[in-house]
Amino acid sequence: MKTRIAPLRLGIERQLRVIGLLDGADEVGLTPLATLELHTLAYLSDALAPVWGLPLVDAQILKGRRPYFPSLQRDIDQLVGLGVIAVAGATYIQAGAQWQVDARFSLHREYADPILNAVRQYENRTRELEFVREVVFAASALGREGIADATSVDAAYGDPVVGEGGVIDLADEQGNATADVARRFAALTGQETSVSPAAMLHLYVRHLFMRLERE
Amino acid sequence: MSNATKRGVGSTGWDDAELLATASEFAGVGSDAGLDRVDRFRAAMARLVGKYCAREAGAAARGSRGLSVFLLYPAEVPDIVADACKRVTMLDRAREPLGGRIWFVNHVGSLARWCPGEFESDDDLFRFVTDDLGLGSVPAVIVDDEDEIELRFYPDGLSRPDKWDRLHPANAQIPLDEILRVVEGVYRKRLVTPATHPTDLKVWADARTGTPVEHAERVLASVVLIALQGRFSWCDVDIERPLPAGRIDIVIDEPVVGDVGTTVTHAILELKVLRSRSHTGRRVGAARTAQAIEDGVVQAAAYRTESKARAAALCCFDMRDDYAGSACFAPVEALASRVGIELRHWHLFRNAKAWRNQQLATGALDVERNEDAS
Repeated sequence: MKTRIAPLRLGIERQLRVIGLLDGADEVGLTPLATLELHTLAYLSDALAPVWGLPLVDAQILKGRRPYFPSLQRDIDQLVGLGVIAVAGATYIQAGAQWQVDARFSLHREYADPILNAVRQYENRTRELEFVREVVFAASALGREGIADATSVDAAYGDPVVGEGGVIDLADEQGNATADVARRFAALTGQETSVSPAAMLHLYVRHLFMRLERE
Repeated sequence: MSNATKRGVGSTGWDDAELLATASEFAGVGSDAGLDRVDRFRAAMARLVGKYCAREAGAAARGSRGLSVFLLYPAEVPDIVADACKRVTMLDRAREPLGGRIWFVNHVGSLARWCPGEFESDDDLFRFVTDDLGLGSVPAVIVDDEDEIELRFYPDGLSRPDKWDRLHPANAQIPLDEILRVVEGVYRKRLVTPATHPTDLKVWADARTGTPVEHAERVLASVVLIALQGRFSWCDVDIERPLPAGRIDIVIDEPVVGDVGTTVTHAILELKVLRSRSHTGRRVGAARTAQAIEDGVVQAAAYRTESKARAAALCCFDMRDDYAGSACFAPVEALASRVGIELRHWHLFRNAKAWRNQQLATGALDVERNEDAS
């Protein structure tokens, strides 16, 4: 399986992923999504992509208190500039030594829907789109606060072995812990062939909630 | 040992027992991905109420008895109830009282808002949703647990109070009759004449000569599968599942909440196509047809027993030249009764004219009958 995407295509891949995430968020009543929520959902999409046999978009992330991908934010900004994403309440917040954009994002349907319709013409694209939407559907169970806190208990991001400033490598040769745990649900239930990738994803997110509740 | 377990021991504490507990509590979640949002909403509501019913203190947990309504409406709630609304995450844990509330939920049934909704009458509830909230066209589920719990699903919303389906809580028995009514529905809507067939799922190779396609059973199973999966979206509907005794054409399973890895099989359906000729045009005689029907009864009984299904039926789709109704079952009625197999027959007409003539012959077009029906 190809696990990485050629660098030149990354910007487009990220932008399609963001549009898919916001589309899914709209459908479950989570829009507008805050910056942190959007980056967290993008992170979960990468961490869980192997469960669906899909390539990663951003395989490495510098661990902070919460996930934040500068490259993703650049692509979001570009989509805002193109009018595909509507932005509200934009401000800057200090995150450690850096400044980050804090805003709420939603799709501008007039421009986003033609993109989504075009994407759905292609089977592999449709599958990727359905995957990121499913990530949002699953994460909606957590609510806004839960999404914002999810990575603190995530198997890969929350691993205390990797401290802040360390690199989380989701494309590690041994796989990534988040995808491993999601797959573990199928193995444990004795139904490896009948627990669908979507079910693994939903079970994983619900388990994050249980862990958050315990903390 | 898997990577997950290895990591769990050494670092963040991922424990198999805890994962199993989650898998058990949320059995079936996500299995409806791929269905449309209305069917997923229906599945989510069936699971939610089923989970309450499964608990010992289910009735108490549901809160005050009476009506509650769930609206598939994840957007911002209407202004008139905005201040009264409270938000609930993980609704599908079934820990939140349901009764006497109006719920605004997403199609996954996990994120919700609710406002109090006690009404003097059912009509008041309907009017409030349609007139005051302006959400009459939003798919809705009404849960009534005044006496015995009852769920009604309104796919077109409460502005169409006449159009509803009974919805079963997850893990409750689904009557075979109800399953067969879905097959009857898909027959009338999608199969009765070539004009109604789905464009990509044809059963006639040449309707004019009465020649079916080579794998007509498989095509029919696919058409029926789509209808059953939509109607019973909290279940797993599968086709051509292999067993030692053969292949089950259609099986309806459901994961059991609280018992991880366990499923209950509501029903199995054995499908047979009765033909006047094969896909190559070769004539098929009456004796071979009779044998196929008898084989179907035995197959259905064997598959039901082997898969521990609650019920089984033989569904015959009759593509023969002449309409003969269910007379073809006469030789196997005693056998079917002995082994507990329901028998159903649907005739696939080669053209619309044959269908109209058959309706005329049975009196279905008579004015008197239609006046009675209306």
